[in-house]
Amino acid sequence: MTFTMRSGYTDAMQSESPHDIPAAVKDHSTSDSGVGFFEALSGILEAVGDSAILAWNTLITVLQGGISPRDLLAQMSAIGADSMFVVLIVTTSTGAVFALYAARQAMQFGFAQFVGGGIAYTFFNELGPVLGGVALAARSGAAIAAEIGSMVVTEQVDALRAMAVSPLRYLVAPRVLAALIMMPLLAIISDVCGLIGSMFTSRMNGVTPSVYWESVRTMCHVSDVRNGLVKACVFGFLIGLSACMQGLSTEGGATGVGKATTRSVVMCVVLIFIADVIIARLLTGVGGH
Amino acid sequence: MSAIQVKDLIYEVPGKRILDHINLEINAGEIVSIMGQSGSGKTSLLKMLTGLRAATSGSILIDGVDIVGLSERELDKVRLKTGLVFQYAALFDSLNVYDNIVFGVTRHKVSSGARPGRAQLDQMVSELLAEVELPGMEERMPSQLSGGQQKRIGLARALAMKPEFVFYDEPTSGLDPITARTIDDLIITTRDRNQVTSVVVSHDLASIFRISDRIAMLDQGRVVFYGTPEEARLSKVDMVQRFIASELPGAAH
Repeated sequence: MTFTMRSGYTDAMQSESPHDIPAAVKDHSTSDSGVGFFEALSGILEAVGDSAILAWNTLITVLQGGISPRDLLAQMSAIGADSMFVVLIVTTSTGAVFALYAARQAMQFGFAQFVGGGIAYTFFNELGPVLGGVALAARSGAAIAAEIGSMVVTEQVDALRAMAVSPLRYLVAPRVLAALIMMPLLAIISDVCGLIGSMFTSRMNGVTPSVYWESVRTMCHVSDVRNGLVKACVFGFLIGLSACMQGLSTEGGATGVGKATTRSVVMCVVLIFIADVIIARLLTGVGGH
Repeated sequence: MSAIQVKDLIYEVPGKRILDHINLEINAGEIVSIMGQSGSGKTSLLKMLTGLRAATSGSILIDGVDIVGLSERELDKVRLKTGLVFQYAALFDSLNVYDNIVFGVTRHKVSSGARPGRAQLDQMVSELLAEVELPGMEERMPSQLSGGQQKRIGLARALAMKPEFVFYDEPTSGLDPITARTIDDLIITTRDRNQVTSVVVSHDLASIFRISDRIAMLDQGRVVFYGTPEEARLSKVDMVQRFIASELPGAAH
């Protein structure tokens, strides 16, 4: 496998091994220099290529069992604990506000029996994984990028390599896998919190809990939850991968760490919404509701 | 045969040649210092010797293996014979001193299927901390250590892998003279106790003259002098004279 070599990080991450981090991951020098359109396009394509290589190498590392269970559990614990509070707040309040508007309209136009089901359907298929993903990107994705970025600028990543320890195996793979595992759990928590939040505001606006839950039971299916979990798995993978990539691409000390962290959040959120559109189309095209 | 041989090494970045036809031979057990002004290319050379940066052309033979052009996985086999002490120690700040020191050992033993027992690790850490004169520091976090202590723990971490080669990046920079002297003594003691070949990158001339068997002077990416400290004092090479005159006024001739 051959990577396009560029300055800066090229030197630090030079490699042709299938288990290594793409050489060009770290170099963003062209992005700040006001270069032409084609160079910018080339940079984007290169970034996409690097992401694909990193994703593939991470996958191979995971499949070969190259991850220490202790590292994986530590990351799962950190990601879960970090993101849980944000997910609880975001999804409960979103569910509550969503129901506030829906229940008012429902009571006015006489379709109260659809409120719970409509909200649950939306949460299972869309809001649960998307809001959970955004929360994960904002909290854990940023933390991953900042941690790895800090390790890069303080030469801790070089120290790993100098000790013949693969940064991919020690840093990237456990975080990507942990995000992939924890994201569906966060999506389920998002669903539950969203439904509870919306049930309370629905009740305050005249939709009784029995009507609410009966509507959920009638209108939603297991496939809706399954679709949400598929999305969550993809989002988790993208968040873990993107955050690690941004962390590894850090340059220039504390300022660089800040920029990498910001880039990570932006990139993760953008990827979540792009992937959401694609997956939604695929899932509805293969038997979804 | 030399333990380390650098032949016609060139390193270029777009628009600039950083290292220009570097040739060096370092014998087993020697302490060789690479000195030069900031930007002379000495850190680049050190990173190439440790495989952390890819050369443009030339060869670097470490224990007979040419590391230029090797894949990361192939480089890892060579890196198991080397230890690198970073300028700012590069200790893993989420791990305490004990875990920093055993990190490499446990990773490689785990992957090879032979996990060392806790008692073995305890003994190893205790011995290494005694060697770097920081006994009882096992539970400290890197943030609780001074710069000099961090460098010594960095050395202990490097020695835990039982390297045949130890590379030091600016080991005395930013340290007070007494601590710098302690680090110098440790570099010599480490060589004597463990029979390691040492390469020290530094611009601390007092330290270089104290510890080195041979000195290489880099100027604008080229080796302009390579010889013993005594030969350096008598050298007619302009850059060497200027360096010595500026750093060791009493030693200028």
